Amino acid sequence: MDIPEEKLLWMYRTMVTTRKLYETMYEMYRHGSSLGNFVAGEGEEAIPAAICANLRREDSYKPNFRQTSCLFAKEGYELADIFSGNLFDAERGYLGFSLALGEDVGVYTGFALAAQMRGTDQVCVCTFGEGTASKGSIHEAMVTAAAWKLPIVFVLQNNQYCGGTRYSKVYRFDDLADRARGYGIPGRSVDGNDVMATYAVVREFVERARTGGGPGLIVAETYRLSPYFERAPGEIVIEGYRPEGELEEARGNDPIPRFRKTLSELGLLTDEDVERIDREVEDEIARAMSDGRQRPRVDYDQYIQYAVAEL
Amino acid sequence: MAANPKPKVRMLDCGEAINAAFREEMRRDERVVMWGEDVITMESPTAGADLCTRGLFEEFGGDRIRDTPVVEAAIIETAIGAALAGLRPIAHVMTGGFQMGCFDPIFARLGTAYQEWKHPGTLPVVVMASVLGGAAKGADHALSPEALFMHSPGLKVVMPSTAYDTKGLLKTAIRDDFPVMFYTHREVMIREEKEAIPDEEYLIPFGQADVKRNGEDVTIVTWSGMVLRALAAAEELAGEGIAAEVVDLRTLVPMDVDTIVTSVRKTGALLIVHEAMKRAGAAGEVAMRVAEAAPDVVRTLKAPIRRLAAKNVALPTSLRIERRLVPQVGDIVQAAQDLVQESM
Repeated sequence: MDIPEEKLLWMYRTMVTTRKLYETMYEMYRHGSSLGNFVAGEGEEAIPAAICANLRREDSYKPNFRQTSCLFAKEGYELADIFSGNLFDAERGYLGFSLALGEDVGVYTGFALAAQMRGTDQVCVCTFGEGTASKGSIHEAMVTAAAWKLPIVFVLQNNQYCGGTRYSKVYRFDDLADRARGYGIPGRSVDGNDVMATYAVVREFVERARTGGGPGLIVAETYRLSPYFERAPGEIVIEGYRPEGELEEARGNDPIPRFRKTLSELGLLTDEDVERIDREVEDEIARAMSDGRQRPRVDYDQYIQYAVAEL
Repeated sequence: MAANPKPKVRMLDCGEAINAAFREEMRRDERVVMWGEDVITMESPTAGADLCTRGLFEEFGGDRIRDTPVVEAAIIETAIGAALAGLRPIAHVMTGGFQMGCFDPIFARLGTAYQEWKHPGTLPVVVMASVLGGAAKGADHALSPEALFMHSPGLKVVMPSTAYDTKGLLKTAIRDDFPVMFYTHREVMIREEKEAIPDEEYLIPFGQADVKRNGEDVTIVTWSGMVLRALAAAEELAGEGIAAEVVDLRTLVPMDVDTIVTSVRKTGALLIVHEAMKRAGAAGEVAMRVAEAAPDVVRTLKAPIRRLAAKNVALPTSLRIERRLVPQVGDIVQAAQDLVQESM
């Protein structure tokens, strides 16, 4: 496959950074520096890396909700943004997400509609999980994107579990990409833990969308190693839904060591490189955390400035 | 010195006034776009209105105006995305009742999430729909949903009662940098009398109620199609020696409380009338806003504030039943008479 060497190494570094970011942010969460629910996407790092490697600054990208921190890899964003407390920026193509799940996919479809109406060659890649894929809004967004041949690539990231419900419990077919046929758009399944294969499919679909060929659906098969969400002090999360031994087996298919092995076989990565990259990434994250947290926070007055009429 | 030339006017109905507003704004700003179900093919995105969009497709083409599939949620969601990407969409969802099919996109995305996301820019989306009361169309078509959307933090709510107001407020809505819910009403749209609409451009600011009829005995605050019934009631009341003042709120968010207070200070009696169901309806908000803004006026009222609204029952597809549930001209007359009686 003709993926330039530097792109391969960039994707590797991105995946390592993503993993280490989760670890860093989890530590912050555990120590109370951030609140809310903590979600992570360990085991799913190959997919955002493969997507971001195909996007430009002016394109739009919505990571799966548990991978919002991957935005650092999207051109226009940087690591420090992740710690700044505010990623929303239409100029750089991130339009937020819906924690009600699914309603955001139509919003990103609107970004693609605007690109088409204005005649730009911007593309949107919008990721959602196999659980969210059941929501009604997803259907309407895909119907609309197909009807107008909008420049959007839907990426259904199947990490096997929505909460504790395995997808095979609620889907009566094996290949989720079959859904694309119902919308009359191209669909393709790919091993989402194989970053090179995922990169190739994303490249093909993004290129088609960029050149007027319309939307498509990529199903990236992966496995969520992280819990559905991490517990805050005092909260209990039942993680007993995985069959015994499954998690351990899935760790054997972790995309990061897997890609490390491939790169090493290709002669692109030595043990020293691996250690060096780990060290560099840790330093970058530490610097980004300190930079990001020094940025001005949205204060109360800014937050309420768009309130309609008096409070 | 010569007298000013008389301003040129054209006699238009509400659909024609809307058409003129769309056309002027789309010519003025190429970012103004619109989509919805049958916006082009039926020419009546606000259902019940004729000719609202006639000729727009021919003039502006498919990159400015589009017919969508039947996808109410996607109509709103794509409008949000397109607005964030720099366009100024008008999203048509036909009726207030159909907006229940895109309640999350309107209430929680359009009206809430952009604040929560700390979005630093603008979100210029107009959501347009019609309230189809008075024709036994049932809850899906006839619902008047203003109270639901007044409760969303980021939505303005506009409900005009005349062709003149509709045009001026719609142009303001399209130029607003933030989300606006814009409702036409079937009874306003189908009025046979045309109105004199100036050729010269005019805009009506939000948050300015309009006193549609002056009176000293009782203040009737209302909006949308109910203004027509309140004016008919005021005419009847006048025959009985009761001078009712009819205040048309025109916009519920923002709400012009000052005009209400001024009127009530004069009349000493306040009746709030709306088409939507009474329980948790907007009348409660109007009353409380008056109480908070002018406690002295409330203390000196000649009678307690009254509200007249639809009974707390689902809207039927029987006109016979609808007429008993939703306030009619006779009900408004009766309520005003009772209130004036109490005031004596």
